[in-house]
Amino acid sequence: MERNFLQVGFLSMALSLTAHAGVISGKVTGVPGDSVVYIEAIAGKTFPASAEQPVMAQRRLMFEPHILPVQQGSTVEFLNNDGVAHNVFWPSVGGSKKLGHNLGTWPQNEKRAFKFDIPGAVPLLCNVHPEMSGYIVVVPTPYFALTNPSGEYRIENVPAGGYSLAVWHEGIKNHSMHVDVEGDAKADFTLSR
Amino acid sequence: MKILTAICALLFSAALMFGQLRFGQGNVRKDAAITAVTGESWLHHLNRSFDETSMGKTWRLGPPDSATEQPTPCVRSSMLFGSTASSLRMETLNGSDLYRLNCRGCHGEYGLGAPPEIGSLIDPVRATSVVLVTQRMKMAGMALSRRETAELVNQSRSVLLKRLHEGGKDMPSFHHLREAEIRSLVAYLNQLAGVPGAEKEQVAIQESHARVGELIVKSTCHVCHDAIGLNPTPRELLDGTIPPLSALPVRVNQTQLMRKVTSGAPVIMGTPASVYRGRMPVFSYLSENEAADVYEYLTQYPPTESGSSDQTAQKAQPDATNPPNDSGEARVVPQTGPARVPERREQGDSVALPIGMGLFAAALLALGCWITLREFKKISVESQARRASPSPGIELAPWATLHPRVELRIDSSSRVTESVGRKSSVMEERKIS
Repeated sequence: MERNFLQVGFLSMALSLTAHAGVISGKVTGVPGDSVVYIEAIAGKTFPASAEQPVMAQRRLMFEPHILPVQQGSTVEFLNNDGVAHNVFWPSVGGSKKLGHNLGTWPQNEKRAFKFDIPGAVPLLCNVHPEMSGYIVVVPTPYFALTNPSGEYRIENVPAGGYSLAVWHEGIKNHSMHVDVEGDAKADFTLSR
Repeated sequence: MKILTAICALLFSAALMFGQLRFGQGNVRKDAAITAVTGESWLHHLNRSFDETSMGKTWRLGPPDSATEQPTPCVRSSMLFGSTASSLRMETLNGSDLYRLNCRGCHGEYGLGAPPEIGSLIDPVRATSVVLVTQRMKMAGMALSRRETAELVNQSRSVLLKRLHEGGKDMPSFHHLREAEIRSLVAYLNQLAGVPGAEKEQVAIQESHARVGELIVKSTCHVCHDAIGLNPTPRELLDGTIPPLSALPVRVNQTQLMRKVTSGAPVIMGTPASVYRGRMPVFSYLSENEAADVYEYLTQYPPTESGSSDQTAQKAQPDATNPPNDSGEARVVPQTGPARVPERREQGDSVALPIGMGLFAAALLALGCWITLREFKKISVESQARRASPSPGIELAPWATLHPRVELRIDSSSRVTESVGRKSSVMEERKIS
């Protein structure tokens, strides 16, 4: 009897959570290229990073993907897929030059890992190939998405509540807006250089 | 006098011939550090077809199939006397020459390669310059300490040298390059990549002709040509078979190869056999002498199947070239210092030249004695004639009365000149002088 009661309790909790989890979707317009849309830090809440290690590859003399959003605290693997050696360094994290770092130079099929504990955009460069450029965008919450080629994005499983939603775009200052999530929410950004 | 000059020239060339023939005997004088080319072509290694690669291609083809055989204007003298001696004569090569012989076939004149298959070498070289890395980091907004910059530069340098020694997935290994060659080559790579001050750091080195041939074969010819194999039929050629390097002496002579490499030559292909333009690129950036070096190398160091002999190149390298410069500083061209210690010579060869020169000297001595004796005879005969001339009892020698008189005039610069139309006799020339 008690067990049944517990089961019903858990089920109702789960249902209520599902009912309250919402989706934020929208479109980023005004500038070409991918953007990262994310919920900014929520006061009093921390989110453990996923154990998954996202991969930033170097392939055909490019960083692939060009933009990789990761949650704060994630460890990123840098894998060299090219027949030539690559170097990876970033001059800053979130504009802070103190956080610049040189990860080194390594040959094909080797990788290096780095844990990004501080949020902000990480501009990736290769000392050997100046034309190479990429970004890791470290965001403070697990609620983030990369826009598709049309500029559309969709962030799922966002608990109901009010949030500050931000957008990062290469070469443009971050924009943010307040979003109330109760079921589905829409938020469009129009950016300009 | 003309006869005397001719005799001297003849004797001298005979002595030289003796030396040359002695050098050429049995092709015994070989550079221990030079090894035969071995194994399959680089394209076979990559399992890549000739048509889908940019490697070894200059994008210049030979003459149209109507082209007729033209005599090659430049024929090295060594080809007349035997090749081994010339292949061991040293030639001065700059870093730019080493680049041309080793890298240009794939990376092109400016080092840009043919992306995406062949990468540019400019940026990886620029990454080895402290000045350029510092500039780049500054532009990227990265504050690096000197130590960090040095570390970054050293990483890039070791990557570059490793690549040169070991090659990569798409790039063949250049482990046969000696330290002095690499130093000279890297100095030129810096210049090519626009590293500040690199032009002052250029280093020239001495190479034997066989070594020049080896470098060209291993870096360029071997990209497409297997080391050994059967000489393809005209039908197989038309079907795309590339002749192995071992078939070269059967297919062409040295002069034909020089033309084929530097300006292109028609190829007989198909059944019935017809003359085609051929697919081999023209390497107009190689000189005819360098193409001749290719032939000499391939005939003196015939291609082999196994790769074992190739491995000895690294072991032999310290003996074969100048020792590394301890100070680490490159010498500035033009190089005026003494030539590097050439390859080891065998005992018999070192004797051949002195013998030849000795014979020449002995012949000259004998000639001198003969002339002196003749002159003494003439003088004595003339003095006898002079003494006897007033006396009708003594007959003059026929030449003493019949030889034409020589008129001499002294010009303003007090030089003695002979009047036109007259021939001087040995006697009167002697009197005047």
